[in-house]
Amino acid sequence: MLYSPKNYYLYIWKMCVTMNCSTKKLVPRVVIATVAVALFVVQLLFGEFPAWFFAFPMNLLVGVLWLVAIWEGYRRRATSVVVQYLLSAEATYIALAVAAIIGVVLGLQSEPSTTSWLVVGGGLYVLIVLTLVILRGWRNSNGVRWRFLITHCGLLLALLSMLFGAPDKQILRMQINCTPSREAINERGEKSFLDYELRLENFTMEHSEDGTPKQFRATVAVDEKVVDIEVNSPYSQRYGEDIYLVSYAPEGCVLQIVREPWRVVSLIGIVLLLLGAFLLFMKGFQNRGQ
Amino acid sequence: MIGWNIFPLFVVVTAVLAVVASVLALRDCRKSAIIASLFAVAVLGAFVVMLWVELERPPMRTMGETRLWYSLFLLVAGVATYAKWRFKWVLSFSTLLATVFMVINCLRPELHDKSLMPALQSAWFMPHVAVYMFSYALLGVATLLAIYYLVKRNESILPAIDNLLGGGLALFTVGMLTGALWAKQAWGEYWSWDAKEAWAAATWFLYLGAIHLRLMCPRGVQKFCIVLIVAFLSLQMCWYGVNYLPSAEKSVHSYNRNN
Repeated sequence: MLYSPKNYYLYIWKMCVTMNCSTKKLVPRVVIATVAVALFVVQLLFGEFPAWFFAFPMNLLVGVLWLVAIWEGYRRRATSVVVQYLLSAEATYIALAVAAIIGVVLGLQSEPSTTSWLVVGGGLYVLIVLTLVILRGWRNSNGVRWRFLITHCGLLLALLSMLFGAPDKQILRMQINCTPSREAINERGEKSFLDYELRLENFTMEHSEDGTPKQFRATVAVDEKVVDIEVNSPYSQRYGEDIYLVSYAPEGCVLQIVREPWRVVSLIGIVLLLLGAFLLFMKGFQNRGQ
Repeated sequence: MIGWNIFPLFVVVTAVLAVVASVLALRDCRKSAIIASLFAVAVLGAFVVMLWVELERPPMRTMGETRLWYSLFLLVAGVATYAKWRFKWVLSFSTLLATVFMVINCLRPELHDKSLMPALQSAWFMPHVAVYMFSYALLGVATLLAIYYLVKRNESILPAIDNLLGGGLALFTVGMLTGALWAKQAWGEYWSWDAKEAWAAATWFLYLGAIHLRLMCPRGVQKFCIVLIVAFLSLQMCWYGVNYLPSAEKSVHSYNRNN
C-alpha cells in the first residue's frame, strides 16, 4: 500500500502512540539525546550562545511568547504525545538530572561557561517541564495545593530571572581617586560611561596585628552626595543599580557597579523557596494521601 | 569587666544543661529535654548579649566570636529539629558539636582577637554555616540508613529516611538561599556559579530528584536509596571536595588557603 508523505508521517506518529511500552519510552529518550548532541555540535561550531541578543526588550518578548506557547501546548495535552511525555514522571526525573549535570559540569570548569548552548538548552528544558507541571498540578479536587505552588513557583521565578534576566545584568568596575570620573570598564574590557560622577573622598583600611586587612571603608561622593561604602555594605544608587567596594588600589580603590534590573524576580523566587523550605521542615514531604 | 574572661563559666553551665537534655532525650523524656535545651540556649545567648553590650558592636568580627555563634545556632537547630522530628540522637549530636566549638574558644584565646576577613564580617555568615553543618548531619544519617536498607531490605526504616531527608533538605535549602542573599550583599550577584555554588546546586537537584522519586514512584525504593547515596557523594564535593579541584582556584569561597 502506498502512502503520500503526509500520511506516512501520520502513520509513524500513530505507531509511536500505539507502540508497546518499551519502544514508546525509547523514542523521547533518543530525541532528548539527539538534541543534546546537536547543542554540543552547535557549541563547537559557533561558540557560546549569543546571550546579548536577548537583552531587554527581546527577553521580555521571547519570555511572554514562550509562556503563551507552553500554555497552548498544555491545552493540547489530551492529544499531544509530546506534552504528555513532558508531563510524565520520567520527564521530571530527566529535568532534575539535567539540572544536576549542569551543576557538576559548571563546578568542574574554572571559568564556568554559563552561556554555553548545553547549559541554556538544558535550562530551557527544565523550565518547560516545570511550567507544564505547575499548570497541571497547582490544584486538585481538594482545592489549591499551596505548598506545591509555593515551592515550584519559587524555583520557576529563580530560573526565569537567571535565564531570561541574565542578558540585562551588567557588572562594571571602576578605579576611583580624588578626581571625579564616569568612566567604568565592563566585563568585556570595554569602556562604559555612568550617568553620574564618582569621586573618592577618603579611603581607610584597618589592619590587625598580623597584617591581614580587618575592614575597608571608602567615603565616596556620588554626584557630590557623600556616602560610605564598605565590604558587605554596598550603596544603592537606584533600583537595580548598586555600588560595591571590591578592592584597593594605589591612590584609591576599586568599585564595582552592578546593574540587575530583574533582581526583584530573583528575590521573590528566593523568598518563596525559603518559605517552601520552612514548610518542608515543619511538615516533611510525605504525601499523606498515599 | 564582662567578657571572654568569664566565658568558661558559661561554657560549663551550657554544656551541663545540653548534656542533661541529650540524656533526657535518649530516655524519651521529651518535654524535659526541650526545656533543658532551651535553658542551655538561654545561658549561651545571655553571654552573647553581654559580649555585644560590652563591645558596643555585634560580636561577629573575630574568629572567636564566629565560633560562639556556631555553638548557639547548633543548639537552636538541635532543639528545633528534636522538637519537630523527635530523633532521639539529634540533641547528642548538637551538644557534641556545640561543646567542641565552645571548648576551642576557651583553649585558644588568640582566636578572640583574630579578625575575620572583611567579606566574612556579615550577619549572614553564622546562620549560613551553622544551618549547613546541621543539614549535613541529617543527610549523613539518611545516607547511612539508605545503605542499611540496601543491605537488609528493612521497610520499617523508610519513614525515618523520609523525615531525615525532608528536614535535611529544608535546612540545606535555607543554607543555600541565605548564602545567595548574602552573596548579593557582598559581591553583587545572588548566584555566580562559583565552583562551590555549582556543586551545591548539583547536590540540591539530586536531593530534589530523590524526593520526587519517593513521591511519584513509591515502589522504587532501591533507586531512591541509590540516589540518596549519589547525592551525599555530591555533598562531599560541595563541602570540602571542591577545595581540591583546579576549578576552585579562583573560587570566592576559598577562605582557608594562604594567599
